[in-house]
Amino acid sequence: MALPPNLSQSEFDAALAEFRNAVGNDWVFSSDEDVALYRDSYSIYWGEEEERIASAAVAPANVEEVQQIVRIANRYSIPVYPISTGRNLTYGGAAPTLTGSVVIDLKRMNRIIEVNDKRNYALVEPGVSYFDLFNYIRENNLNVMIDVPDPGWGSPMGNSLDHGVGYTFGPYRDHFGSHIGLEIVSAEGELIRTGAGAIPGSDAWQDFHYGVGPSIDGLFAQSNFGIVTKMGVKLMPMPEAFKNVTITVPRYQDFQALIDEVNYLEDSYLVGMPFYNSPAGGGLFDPAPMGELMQNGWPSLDQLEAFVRAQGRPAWSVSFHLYGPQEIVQGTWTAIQRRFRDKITGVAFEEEELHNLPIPEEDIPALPDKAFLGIPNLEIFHIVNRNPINRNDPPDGHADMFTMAPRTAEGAHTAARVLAEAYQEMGFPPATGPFSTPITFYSRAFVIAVLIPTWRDAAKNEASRALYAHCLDKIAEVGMGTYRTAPAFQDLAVSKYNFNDGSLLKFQEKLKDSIDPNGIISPGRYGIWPANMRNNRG
Amino acid sequence: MICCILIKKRHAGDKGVMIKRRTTLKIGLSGALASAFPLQSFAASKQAAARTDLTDLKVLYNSNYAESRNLAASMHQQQIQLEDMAEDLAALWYGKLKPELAQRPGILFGLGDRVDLFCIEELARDFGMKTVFRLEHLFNADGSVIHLNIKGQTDKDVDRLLTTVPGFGYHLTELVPLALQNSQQSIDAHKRTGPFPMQGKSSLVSWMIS
Ligand SMILES: Cc1cc2nc3c(=O)[nH]c(=O)nc-3n(C[C@H](O)[C@H](O)[C@H](O)COP(=O)(O)OP(=O)(O)OC[C@H]3O[C@@H](n4cnc5c(N)ncnc54)[C@H](O)[C@@H]3O)c2cc1C
Repeated sequence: MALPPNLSQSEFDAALAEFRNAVGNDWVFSSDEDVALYRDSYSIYWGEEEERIASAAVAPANVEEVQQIVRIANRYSIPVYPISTGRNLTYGGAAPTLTGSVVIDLKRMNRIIEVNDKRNYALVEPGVSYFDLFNYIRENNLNVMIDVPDPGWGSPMGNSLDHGVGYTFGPYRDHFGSHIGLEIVSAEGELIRTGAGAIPGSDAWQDFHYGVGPSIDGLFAQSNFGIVTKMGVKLMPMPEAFKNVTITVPRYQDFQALIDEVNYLEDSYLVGMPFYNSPAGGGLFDPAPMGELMQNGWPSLDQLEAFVRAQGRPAWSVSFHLYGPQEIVQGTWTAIQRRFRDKITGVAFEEEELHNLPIPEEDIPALPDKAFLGIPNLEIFHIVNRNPINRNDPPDGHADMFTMAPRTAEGAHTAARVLAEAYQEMGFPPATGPFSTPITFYSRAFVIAVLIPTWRDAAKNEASRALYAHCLDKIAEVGMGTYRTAPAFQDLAVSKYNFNDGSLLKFQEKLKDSIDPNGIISPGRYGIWPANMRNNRG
Repeated sequence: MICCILIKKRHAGDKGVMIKRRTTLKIGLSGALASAFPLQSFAASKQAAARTDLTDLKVLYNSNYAESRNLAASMHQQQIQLEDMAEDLAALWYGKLKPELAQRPGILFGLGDRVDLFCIEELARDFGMKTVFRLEHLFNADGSVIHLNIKGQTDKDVDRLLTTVPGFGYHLTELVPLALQNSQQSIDAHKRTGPFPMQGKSSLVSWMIS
């Protein structure tokens, strides 16, 4: 069993006894077999010394117990690592950033305190999963839609606090961006509410996020400044209907005009998540054979245009949902077609029938794109299971490497090219190419994604780690970074955001030292190390 | 998250450029959920594991697979709870198993693909439950089956109980006592692999989570 750093077994035993006093015997897990439940299934250090392993886990039932745990942790200088539902696979799972930390498993704090479908918000505790929230809304016939990540087994709180993302309308699919009001247990055990929640008796906590003075909410996501115990979630009123539409453009060089127009529509809040594709390029699962095209390095525009013509398919497409009352959806669609026709020669349109919302219960299982309608599911695991590209050597997991690129064709192509070079330089076949398309999880940025495999095999993991690190290095050379990563790469990822000699991280660490003087909360998370542990920086 | 995007791209690639929507209607989400579960204590779930009372057993099969259907067929006459993981694993867990386990600790025995096991394994942490027994079933091109334990070896006891030809699903519940016995010994079976299938092989996996 791992021990917390600088603690003897007897000191740790004494601390565990105090934790038991605080939360009850049944809710402190310290045997090897119990602690093993918190291992990260996708760890890129699986079975190696550097795998992040907890020393114990504690599951409090309420805020007071969280406060007691924090006070005990301070007395013994024990690092603690709070998780909500702890399903952060590809970004660390339920395992802590620092080996020897005690996981604070908030699964028992699972109350949906309120869902309001007139003011359109929910107030939840950490252990509430997307499924719980979705089912509660359905059962109570509430007229709101939630935005979910691909696997619905996570929690609005845990997902938001890791800057997680979903699939519906722009303002809602940035999950931390759509939180409204936090309750936090500070590193010293004090209870804080943000925004209007700081006014005793306020009924506007989930309506007004600023309060007065500086907003501190952002300090609690991808960080280690406190333990969040309640969070408001802005919800979208259930749209009356939705319609899925697709727009295609014929030439490779039409990509920028397509993006410009989609940016206009997204930023005007007229469309749901734009979903770019390249019919000519064929997508990642069935890429058109490009051997010749790529023979002499990255192809010229003329070569790419010739390739597109030879495929006989449009170079690019974008699909999105239009949400709203039927008349608005139809009217928006008419206007969108007009705008595109004015701007791009050869543009073409396809549309599906309009569907009313909410989807009737009996129709849900057959829906192929549940996440686009805020319906939580676990189908993603079967989808990756059966995909043709992992057929020959399926890994055990993946470390997702997301490159944040500017919202331009040039931005997307540069990220794809640099990642392809990184793969080749490390001896891997490239996973991106000239037809790679951006993902729009965040409505104002592009993501170019690659999934780097993780294994139960140390040698293969070493190669994956080297690849991941090389990708981060390469994208930084062109001024790009990532938005989220597993603990194994957090120091490296953060080190790329080093404007003015890393002034941002220096500021964050100054805050850390004053807010959490003993450095007990999630040390090292997203590169923020407390003063007494800075030599741990990897 | 990327994966969803990838499959949607594939759909688009296969069928022109439009994301296709299936219109067939199937069964709805089962059961309704309360908003907050009183999670059972960990000690209670351990006690359940220690018992051999089969009323606590829930057998999970995946009707997409013939051997798994065989398992279900073999249980037809028995008073043991049987659940299909094929339709919507999430609805099964959140709509049925989670509320049931919150009321009364239980033992899950299943046969499905690695995704089924992977998902249930992660979900079961809510109750402090872990995979205590795991057997991979590999299908050879000639139709024969190899059963591999967690060390990647065949096991005489297992081969005696199961057949190495198709149809082993009918005998799978005979492994339950063996699995219960193992469940007291080790957690080596827990999180052995990720959700992906074995390299280049068609395979299923049977398991006990308690
Ligand atoms: C195949 C696949 C697809 C995925 N798709 C998506 C996707 O579409 N979108 C997406 O966003 N993610 C996706 N993920 C990543 C991940 O599974 C989800 O983000 C998941 O929701 C995170 O787990 P969770 O909600 O249980 O959060 P948790 O694991 O509970 O929390 C995440 C982290 O936040 C911090 N934290 C949590 N709770 C607290 C608290 N109360 N106080 C302080 N800090 C806290 C901790 O550091 C914790 O490690 C995917 C993963 C896989 C494997």
